[in-house]
Amino acid sequence: MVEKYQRRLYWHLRRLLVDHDDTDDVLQNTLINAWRAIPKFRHDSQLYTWLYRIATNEALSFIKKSRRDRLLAYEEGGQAMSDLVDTSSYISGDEISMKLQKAVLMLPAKQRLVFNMKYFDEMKYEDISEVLGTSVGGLKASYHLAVKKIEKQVLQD
Amino acid sequence: MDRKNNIHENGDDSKLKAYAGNKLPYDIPETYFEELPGKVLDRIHNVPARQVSMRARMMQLAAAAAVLVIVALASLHFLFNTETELTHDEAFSIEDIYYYNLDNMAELEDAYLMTYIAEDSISLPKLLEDEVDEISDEDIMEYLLAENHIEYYIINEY
Repeated sequence: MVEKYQRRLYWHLRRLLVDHDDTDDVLQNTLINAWRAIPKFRHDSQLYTWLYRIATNEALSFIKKSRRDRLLAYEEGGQAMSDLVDTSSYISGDEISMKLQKAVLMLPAKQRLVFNMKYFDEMKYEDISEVLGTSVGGLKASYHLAVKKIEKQVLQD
Repeated sequence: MDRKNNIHENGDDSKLKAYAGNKLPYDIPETYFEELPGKVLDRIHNVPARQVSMRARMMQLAAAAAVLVIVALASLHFLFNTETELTHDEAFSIEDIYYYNLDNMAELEDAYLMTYIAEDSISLPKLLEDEVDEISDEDIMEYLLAENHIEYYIINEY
């Protein structure tokens, strides 16, 4: 299970948390909790959407436990979150990818999650709905708006 | 036109993907994914197993067992306790005693019989009082004379 899903889960968390060390902590916690909860897995969802749900909750718990202002930045998006890209470790990339990531971090939390899972992980709306508990119609609308916002920022220059 | 139909299945992100792709500006240590499974397994083996859920389950089982025992005992009590034991006195009604005495009146002493009939202070159960009331003086006299057990005494003076 670890080897099969570690990369997908890692990048999902990294896009949320930005920092590699934070991502490493949360990913390990996610995998340990998933291993413990496997007997309770009811097979009413796919395994990887179940893992995504655990990972997302672990990330949110981690953010809550860290500084309050970090939680606010995460929830509201905006410049504070975007600035993390400049200050975190293991950051390197071309200008466009930096612009893209900063634009994504400007989005509110829920919309950011939807965008990440659709744009980067190329998940189906039905699977995203299982992870977030939001209707497919709501997800489509949220993603459409997110794409428009990011396009406006990234393509601006 | 339906607004929903205007939203492309993929939110029309093709333009963005064509320009920015889907690469992120993040690096990771070279051997990170090779080492991760080992780190996770080490933490799993070193973290003590939670006892709470097993303990809670044992408590639940113990409580359920206690309830079953109590219900079983109560059921047994009601099942085997339906018979009512009669005391020696309750085994015979007063009516039975009265008729027994009547049947065995020949064995009674005269004096006792006279006392039995004459004394007003004798309190009889209502059933017997009613029966006695239904027996006329003539009936009594007839009985006494017929049986010839005792001499007839005038009980009431007129």
